[in-house]
Order: sequence, then structure tokens, then C-alpha cells
Amino acid sequence: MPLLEIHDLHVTFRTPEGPVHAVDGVDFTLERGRTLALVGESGSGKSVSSLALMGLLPSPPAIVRGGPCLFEGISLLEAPEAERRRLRGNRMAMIFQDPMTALNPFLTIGRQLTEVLEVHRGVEGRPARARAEQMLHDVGLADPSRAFDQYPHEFSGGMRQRVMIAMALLLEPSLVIADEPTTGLDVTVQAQILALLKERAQKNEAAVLLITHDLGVVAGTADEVAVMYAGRIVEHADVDTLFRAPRHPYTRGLLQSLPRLDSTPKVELSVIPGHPPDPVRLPAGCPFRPRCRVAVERCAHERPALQEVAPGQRTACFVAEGA
Amino acid sequence: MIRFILRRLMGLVPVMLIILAVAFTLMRVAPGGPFDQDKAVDPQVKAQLMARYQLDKPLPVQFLAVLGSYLRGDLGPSYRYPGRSVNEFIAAGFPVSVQLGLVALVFSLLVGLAAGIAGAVWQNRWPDHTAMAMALIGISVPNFILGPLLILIFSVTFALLPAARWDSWQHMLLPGVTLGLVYAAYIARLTRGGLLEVIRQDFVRTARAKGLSERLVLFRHTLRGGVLPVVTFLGPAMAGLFTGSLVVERIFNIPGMGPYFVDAALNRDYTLALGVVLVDAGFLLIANLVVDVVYGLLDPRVKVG
Amino acid sequence: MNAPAEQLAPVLEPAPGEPEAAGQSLWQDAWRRLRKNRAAVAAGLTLLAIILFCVVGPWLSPWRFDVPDLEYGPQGPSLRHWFGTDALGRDLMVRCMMGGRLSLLIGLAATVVSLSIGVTVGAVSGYFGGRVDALLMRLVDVLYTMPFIFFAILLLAIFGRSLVVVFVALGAVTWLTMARIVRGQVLSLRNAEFVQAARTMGVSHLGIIFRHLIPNTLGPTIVYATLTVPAVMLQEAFLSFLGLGIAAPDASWGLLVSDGAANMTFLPHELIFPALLLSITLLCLNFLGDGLRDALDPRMRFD
Repeated sequence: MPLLEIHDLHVTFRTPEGPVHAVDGVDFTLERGRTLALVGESGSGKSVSSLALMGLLPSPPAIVRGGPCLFEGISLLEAPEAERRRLRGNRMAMIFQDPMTALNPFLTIGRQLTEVLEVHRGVEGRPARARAEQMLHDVGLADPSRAFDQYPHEFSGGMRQRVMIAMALLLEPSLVIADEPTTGLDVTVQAQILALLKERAQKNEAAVLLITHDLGVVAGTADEVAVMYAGRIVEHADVDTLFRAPRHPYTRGLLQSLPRLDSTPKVELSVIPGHPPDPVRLPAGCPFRPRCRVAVERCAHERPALQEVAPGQRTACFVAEGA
Repeated sequence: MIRFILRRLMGLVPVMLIILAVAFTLMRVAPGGPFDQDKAVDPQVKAQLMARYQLDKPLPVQFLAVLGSYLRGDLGPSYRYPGRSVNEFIAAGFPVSVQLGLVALVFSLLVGLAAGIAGAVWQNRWPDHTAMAMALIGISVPNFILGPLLILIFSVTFALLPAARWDSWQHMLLPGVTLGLVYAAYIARLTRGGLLEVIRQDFVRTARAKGLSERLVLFRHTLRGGVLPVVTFLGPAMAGLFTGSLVVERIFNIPGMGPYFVDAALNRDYTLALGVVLVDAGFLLIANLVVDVVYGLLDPRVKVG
Repeated sequence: MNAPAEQLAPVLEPAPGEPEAAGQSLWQDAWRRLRKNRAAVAAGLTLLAIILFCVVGPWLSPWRFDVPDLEYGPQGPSLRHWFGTDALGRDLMVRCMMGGRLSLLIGLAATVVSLSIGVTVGAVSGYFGGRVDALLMRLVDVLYTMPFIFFAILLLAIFGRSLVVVFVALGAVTWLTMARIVRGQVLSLRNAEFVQAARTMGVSHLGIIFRHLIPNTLGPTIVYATLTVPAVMLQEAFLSFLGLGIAAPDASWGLLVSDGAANMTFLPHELIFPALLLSITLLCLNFLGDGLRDALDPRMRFD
């Protein structure tokens, strides 16, 4: 049984302009110990998907439907709130994008770590402190017992993200969702944080769902990649296949827009023309069609489903299927 | 921390001197004096009185004399009530005024925080609308209207609570509500606004992602940042409580300091008026200092000291 | 007498000849948002009605505010005296109207005093910056810590109960926050391109402050002024209640409430009518101020 099985996940936001289909039928599975990267532009639905899995979308305005969505055999969309709360921070943990704002400025680092132990394990006082300090040490903080009593504003962004990782991995969850964990950090720090995340996750045999818009991050970290566009997964493959032989025109566009060390400086980076579609008024047929160079007649009125186009590679594109 | 407080206390000294100097000058440049109203006083006696209280000396000399006796803890004799010292009046009135202020403050904090939290937790639903409508009404009904109305309802019509004096806890209810309601209303609005501001922050989502209950998310992660605007407001609110107590003490016949002050100013009872200004202003300045310290304790990002 | 609600429409238009003043669309947007805010519109209309009632009413009433109806005496409401009469037998409705005139006038006049001082100090402080700014803001800080109401009471007790003293005392108490708001606005604007342009064209400092900077701080200024009017009216009523404001036979709402409170056990209507008028007016002004704030900038906060 896979750790996480997502079928036909939909998230809709009610807005004054009408319903916004932020996530529009997402399927994927994630095995224990594997790292899946969800890649896409902002607004593609990757963050919303992860928040929906965590049960952190405020409702209203969000409506989460679909399914079955199973985590460790528990149906996420049907479980009562109390059970979902027991999973959060315990079996599934989340690392957020901006470490500058994701930690509570009013509480010490130690308090923010130990409360996870307190809430889920009933561990308090000295043992909790020892456990938290050990964890702070494990994520590379030089003076854990001092850091324990310090406040977030006394740390740099990279250090805070280390604290976030410590907090997320404290209870050895089987799933870690990392939402743009390196955005806003210095490039050198980014690499350290990714390495740390990977190392800690492997140690716990935790699966990682890595949300990012940065294909560079994906290449070094993920086992598999799912590319999202306009609320759907348009291509899903293991990382080598995807980088070597992308089939969906959107994935190809993304890869071509990456600067490469071996490319000749004369070659201009290609940028995908046009903009992502307005989520309130999605076009009929394939949502990528308006920006697609290879679109055919059929793309205008029929929506391509995710199909296996090669072993271990699924793509939602009529042209790629035919190829 | 201690050094911060000491430094701030030192900073209060010049402010206090300015306040006293302005109040002193205002009273002295005004026409009339403490012994003018009684026509019976013949000029010779008046001159004697003036000499006894050193009122014939130049103003700066008098002011320095006043400051000197303040340093010794002596607020001087009352000019209008012979034989009674200002210290006596203040010793009698100040504790009552402070009690009234505290009752009102506690009431406004309890009601205001509760209403504000309810408004933020059930944002845009009926508890929110009710609380905020009540708050706007609370802000718009001045205490000198509320007080008589409460007396009319609870004392005159239903005879449930006493309308005057200051003897037992029943006596404190109506004045406390009268004085505190406006601040309850402001605190409710500030609490709601502050909480809604904090609830949108990323770290609240982090708290939820850790599997905390909504109660913990609210009380441990949201409330502390959310009440910071309330703490800031408490400084001006203290000043307002004092001003309001002038009226409330009059309405409910409470033997606090308020009535003395107005009468003393009207009667040119220089020492008494100045003594009240000294005590009230000093109390306010210190209350503001306490508020700043509390703010620093609540928000670790603010460096105190 | 100009009423806030009547002024609203013209004030919300951009000042003519100020091309760099906030664009037409901002004010139109704000005006549209304000009209959509039902509470604010209702408050504005109610206010207008109360103002009309107070301004026009005394001319239409057969009764005078200072002449008692001796054959009627002190009594509750009736067809003859809609609001009843006060303890001396004077028609309470006319007294409420006259009191309203005075209360509203004081509210507006003291707000103008407060605006003039506050905007000038704030703009000068923000524009010149440096030592001027430090000095003025230090002054504001010190004044903030002063128990101003004591000084207002001292002023009134000492110099007698005259309208002018009331204006000055109240205006002087309320300009501090105004100065801080305007200073903040000017501070953020003083290096804007249109100010630089004016400077290079040789416009004098005062010209830049009054022609270019102050018009651009209109939004927050208007909102704060709208909220100052009820605050000042409240203070006036409060002073009248203490016997330090307007002197009889003239009336303000505060004085009427004070008289009503004194007689409330046997003439409750004498308390209720002026109390209602004052409270409703304050409520409407607060609603209007909130609405204006939301309309001009939803993020703006004066708390």
C-alpha cells in the first residue's frame, strides 16, 4: 500500500467573481521514503493541493472534494477534524515557504518545538527539552541549549528554516510536505537546506512532497516529478525521464527556459509565450492550448487526460500520446 | 530592564516639572485669588494671609518654594479649607478614585476582550455583528448619559442597585460600568482588529499544521500578538479613565478626587488644584511607563533596556 | 453653518488646479465605495436630518428656547410641547434644537482649530525633517503625556466660560494626533517626483507645503477630522456637564443632559431627548468616519 494515494482531488474557492477551480482533478501516489516534486508556476495549484492534504484550507471559502485520498490508509477527506489534527504535525508535517514569517515571533524556539511533543505525545518539561535540543543539534544549530531559549528574530533566515525542519521532523512523520522551502534564502544556504531536508527525511524513511517552481531544486532532490498547470498535473515521471525526455509541451517549455551551464551564451533562453489562464474562466479543452506551439484541432474542445505514454511516464497531451 | 525603568523615571522628572509649571502659571496669571471671594475679609487680614502663605513673593520664588515642599512630601495647606492640608484631601480621595478606575478598567478589559475575541473568531457572523454594533453604540453613548440612564433604570425604576456613595461592592457596579463601557467598546474593536491581523499571519497556519487545537492556536499563538494594540491603547485609556472619573464621581456622589479638582480650580485654591494635578499626572505618567514595560514583555522583538 | 454631510460631496472632489493631487479616480472610487456602504449612507442621511432639525427647527417652532410656558409648567411630552418642557417650563424641543446648533458649531469650529494647528505642525515637521522634526515631535510627545483635560478645566475655570475659550481649549487638546498623521504622510511624500519638480522650479518651501504636500494628505486628514468632530462634541458636552461649558440660558446638548440628569427622577424626558439626540449624532459621525476610512483606504487605522 502506498503511503499517500490521491485520486481526483478538487479544490474550489468561492469568490465574488465566481468559483475558482484552483485544483481541478489531481491524481498521484507517493511511496514511503520517496520524494515527489510538485512543479508549476504560481497559481498552478501546487500549494493549494498540499494545503488541502494537510487540511489547512479555511472553509469557507475553500471547498475540497474528490477522492478517495488515502494517507496511511486513512481517508483524508472523510476523517473527522479531530483525527486529522492527530495526523498533522505528527504523521504528516509541513515546512513552509517563508521562515521569516512562519515561526511565531512571540514564542521561544524551544516552546514552538516542545508544544508538538506536548500535544501529540504528552511529553513535557525536561524530557521534551532534551528531545528538542537534540533535534536542534541534528539540524545543525551550533548551540542548541541557547537556541532553545531564543526568539525567531534572533536568527537568520537559513537558521530559521533549520528550526522549521527540526519542528517538522521532531515526531518522525512519514510524510513531510515542503512548500518552497528554499525561496528567499541565499543560494548557498538553499543547497544546505535541501541537503539537510533530504538527509533528515532519509534517516526517518519519510516521504517528501516538495512543492517548488524551481526545476533546479527538483533535479538534485526529487525522485519523481509532477508538473502542474492550471490546477492539473500535466506530466508525471521519474526525475531522469522527465529531464531527459519531457513529452508535454509545457514541461518542454519549462526545461528550455532553464539556463544551462553547457549551453552557448548566444542562445537566448526561451520563455513560454503568453500567461497562465484566468482560473475563473478556464478555456474549454486543454488549458495550455492558447500558449501551445503544437496544439491541434482536438485540443480546443476536449480535455486530455493523464495517460501512460512511456513506462513510468504519464502525460496529459493528445500530441504527446500520438507521438 | 531595571535600568530602562530607572532611565524612563528620570525622563519623567522634566515632564512633571513642565506640567506643574504650566498649571502653576495658568492659575496665577488668572484674575482673582483664594481670598477674594469672601467680601468679609478686610484688606489687612487678607495681606496677612497672603504673607503667611507667601503669596506676596514673586512668582518664580513661590514656584520654587512649592517644589521644595513637594520634595519633602508636603503638598501644602488648603487655602479654602483652613486647617486642612492637601495631603489629607488626597489621602482621602485618591484611593477611592483609583478603586473606581480599577473597577472600570477590569470591567472594560473583561468585556472588551471577550467581545473582541468573539468578533474575530466568528468574523462576519452574528456574534461579530452584535459585538461590533454594541461597540459602536458604547463609543457613542457618553458616560454622563449612561450614568444617569443606569441610575434611572437600576436604582429609580427597579431599585436593584444603589445610586450613590461608595461603601460596598454594590456601590461599585453602576459607576464601574458607566466609566468602563466606552473603553470596553474601544478594546473590543482593537482586540478584534488585532486578532484578525494576526490570524492572517503565516505562523498561525504553522501552528495549525502542527496539529494544535483551535483553542491552543487562539490562546497561545494568536492572542498575544492580537492584544498588542490593546496594550498600546491602555496608556491613553488611563488618562481617559481619570477624566471620566471627574464626571462619574459627580453623578454617583463618590468621594474621590474629581470634585475637589473642579472646585479647587473654580475657587482658586492653588495648593489643592496643583496637588491634584501633581498626583494625577504622576499616576498617569507612571501608568504609561507600566504599559510600555508590559508591551516589551509581550513582544520579544521590542528591546526594553 | 456648514454640516459635515453637506460638505462631503464637494470635499471629495479633487482640489482644482492640483494636477498632482491624488487622481480623480481615487476620489471617485472612494465616493462609490462610500455610497455602497449602507451604514455610512444611513448615518449621513440621519445626520443631515438632525442638522436640518436643529438649524431650521427654531424658526418654525412657536416657542422660544429661553421663555417658559408658564401656564403649562414642567411636564412631559404632549401635542403642545412635543418633547415636553424643562424644569422651568421652557419648550424642550426648541432647547434641544438650539443646543444642537451650539454643539455642532463647537464640534466643527474646534475641529477647524485642531486641523489648522495639526496639519501645519505635521506638514512642517515632516517636510523639513531633521532638527525641526525632532523638536516638534518631541514637543508632541511631551504634550501627549500631559493630562490635557486638567488644563482645559483650568482654562475654563480661570478665564470664565466663553465660547472662544471652549474652542481653543478643545482644539488645542485634539491637534496632536492630527499632526502625527500628517507628518507621516508628508514624510513619505516629500521626496516624490512632483515635489522635486516643484523644488527645481523654485517654488518656496511654504508653497510646496501648502500647495503640493497638504492637498495630498487630504484623505487621512478628512477621515480623522470626521472622527474629531464627535470627539470634540463629546468633550464639550463633558465640560458643560461639569458646569464649565456653555452658560444658561444658552444651551448645548451637554448642558441639557446635565440639567436632565439633575431632574431625571421626576422629569425623565428631560434627560432622554437630549441624550438621544447627542448619542445618535455621535453614532452617525462615528459610522460616517468608519465608512470614510474604509472608502478612502481600507488599511488605514488610527487606533
